[in-house]
Amino acid sequence: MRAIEIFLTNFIDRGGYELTLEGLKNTVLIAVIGLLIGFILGGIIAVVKAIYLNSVAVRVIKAICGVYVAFMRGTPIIVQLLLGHYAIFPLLGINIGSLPEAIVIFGLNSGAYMSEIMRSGINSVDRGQSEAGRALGFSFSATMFRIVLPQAVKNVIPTIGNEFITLIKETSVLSFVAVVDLTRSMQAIADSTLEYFVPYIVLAAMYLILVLIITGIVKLVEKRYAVSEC
Amino acid sequence: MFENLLEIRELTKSFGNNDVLKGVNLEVRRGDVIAVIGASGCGKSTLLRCINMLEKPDGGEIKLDGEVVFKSSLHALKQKQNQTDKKSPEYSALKEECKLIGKEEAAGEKKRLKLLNSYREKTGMVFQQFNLFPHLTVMQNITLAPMKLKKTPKELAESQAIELLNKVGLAEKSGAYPSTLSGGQKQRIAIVRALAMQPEIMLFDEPTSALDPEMVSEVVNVMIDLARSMTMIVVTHELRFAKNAANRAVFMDNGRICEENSPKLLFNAPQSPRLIDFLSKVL
Repeated sequence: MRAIEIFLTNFIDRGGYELTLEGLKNTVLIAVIGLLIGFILGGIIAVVKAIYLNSVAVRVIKAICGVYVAFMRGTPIIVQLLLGHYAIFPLLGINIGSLPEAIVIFGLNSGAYMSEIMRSGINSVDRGQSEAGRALGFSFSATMFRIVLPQAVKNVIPTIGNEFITLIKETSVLSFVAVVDLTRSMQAIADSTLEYFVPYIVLAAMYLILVLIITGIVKLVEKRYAVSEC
Repeated sequence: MFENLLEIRELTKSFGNNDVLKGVNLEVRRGDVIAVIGASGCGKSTLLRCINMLEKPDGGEIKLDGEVVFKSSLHALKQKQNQTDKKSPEYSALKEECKLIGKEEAAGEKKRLKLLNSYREKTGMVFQQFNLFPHLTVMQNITLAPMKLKKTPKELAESQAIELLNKVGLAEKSGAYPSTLSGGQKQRIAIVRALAMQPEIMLFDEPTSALDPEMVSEVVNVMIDLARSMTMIVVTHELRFAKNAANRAVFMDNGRICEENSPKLLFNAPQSPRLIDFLSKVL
């Protein structure tokens, strides 16, 4: 009962909900846009990796993609955020604010993981599908985007859902670069009231609810795509 | 215009050390219906896949409708180079020649690569495993290529598709997804999909081999019907089609065309011992 009292005072009476909503908004925004950037970027990289031509240009692009993926997967996201916020963005003279920076970095990070997810998706589509596309006269890229990728995406929807969940939870490191995310907002409430129990319970509950919502959405999307199930 | 629609000369193809095609020669006239038979592993499927460049041949020449689609003598030259003594003067001469021809052919190939997609539009391919697009309906499967590649307006593409579907007796399936169709129905749709691009020649790669026995005839009937108006090369174990619809039959063995004749003579009066042996096993 005391916990509820504290919750009501700290979150409602003292206006803690405003900070909470701000944190929630940023967390969802960064994860959703990051996922979209990652999806597009990952799709492009996966297609590049599937190019069978062996020209110099193709090899150079593949090498660049390889380095990018290795770096993004090989360093912690917190390091990438710090590096971006304190080194790369200032160095390039880009000043877009902490939140857009975070979105970009989360997108780039997710792109690396997503490229592997999409690659496994592309590999899961039967070779005969791309052969049929090519035999009809479609170019490599048209075959990829019209025939192979739609099936590949369908096969990896659960894995993309997983990536989304990971992203949502990883945003909790954002407080290091001065972005008010869900975790940061709860820390602020806890620090200002010196009451730690309730905010962190609320925090855990909110992440859990977010993840459950995502799980539900993924299931819905899967169902919708299952129409053409073989 | 050109008497020969398709000309294949000295076509070679190997996968690693395995020489699958060892110099295939075949001339296909407009209207020909050619049944290609042979034991598995003899190279008949590879030949078909080389004709529409799903597999890139190593050497030889392919011409469709008078246009060179593939031409290379580099591979043969390199093989010759590898066989000559490295110290002999002939070796270095061959090496130089290889370099020169390699450059020339690379330039020619680049040009032809650009035409490859339009060339493939002229060759319809039907696969053993159907390879319908499972994420599209029957109608979308058929109209995708004409709409996107030939820029056929949707209404026209769809009415053409319905016409073709009527011919194979599947007009009522136009809204269905491939997963709801039987094997025989899938293959008939796959034939329609290839026909919708109005190809000059149709290539069939063992179209009935993946079908349940009771569905073979519905597909063969469609093919026999089609054979009256289309140039076709059919790799098949289906001797009924070979006997009834083909005007030429080709027996392949060990990467070469071993015997060629009218189907009647090929089946009833085989000449080579390999064909006699093969027929005794399958008939």
